[in-house]
Amino acid sequence: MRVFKPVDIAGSGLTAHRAMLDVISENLANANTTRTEDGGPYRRKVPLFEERLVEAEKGRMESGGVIVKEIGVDDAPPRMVYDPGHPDANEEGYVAYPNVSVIREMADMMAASRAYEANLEVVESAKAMWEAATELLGR
Amino acid sequence: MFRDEVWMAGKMSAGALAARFEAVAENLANINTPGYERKEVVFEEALKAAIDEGNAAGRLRLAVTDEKHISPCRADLDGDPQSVIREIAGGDPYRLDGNTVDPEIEMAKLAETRMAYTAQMRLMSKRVGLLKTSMGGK
Repeated sequence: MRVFKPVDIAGSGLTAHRAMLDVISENLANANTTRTEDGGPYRRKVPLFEERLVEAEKGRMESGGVIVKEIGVDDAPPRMVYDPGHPDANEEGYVAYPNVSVIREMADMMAASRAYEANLEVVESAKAMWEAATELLGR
Repeated sequence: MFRDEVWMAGKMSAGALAARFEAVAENLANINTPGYERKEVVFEEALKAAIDEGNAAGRLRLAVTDEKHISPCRADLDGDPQSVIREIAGGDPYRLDGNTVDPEIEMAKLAETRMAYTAQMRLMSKRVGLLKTSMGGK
């Protein structure tokens, strides 16, 4: 039995949800960014989670937590705000703002931090369990 | 010394609980993975069947005339938890992304598994203490 596998799995969950929080904070920081390197407003980023497969004994693959496969980009159209005085306004006077919804990001942030806490709880429980197991060695 | 029913059943139970804990850890790690199906480890019934089977095959089988009697014979348990573990995946998706992990259920399972495992370990360490006493150790 691989003693620290649950810790490994929970660790992958912690890493993935920290990455999710990174992406969310990037989205929030750029909620009003109208200029980017590729031109146009900033586009909302989305972390894509996937079940992680790790190599077990005899070359067999087994699931072992989660991994952020890639950071995708939200294709939703930008938010158009009428502001003729803005340097980035188009001919009609509209400014293209990022397709970031602050409320949605806040909700996602809560989901990410709750999931992070849940994984942390797994690590705590694993510690308590192995401590109980080492009691077999005697006090 | 460690081939008796209590020890073997304890070993299997602890191993199976550790596997269940692993499944819970996996479910919680994948709480935000779209389309992920929750995993569950079931073993209680198989373990009970294995113990009963061992009892039935015991050599010095005493008559058990009441269901409250404890059968005193040894079980032929192999102590390998893999023989009683069955892993199932599935569950009803209640979220739009097809994920079937319910955080409340997983947290409850986590606490339950942790307590059962700790209790099992405490029982086994008591047994070790018993043996130590009989060996004259302190």
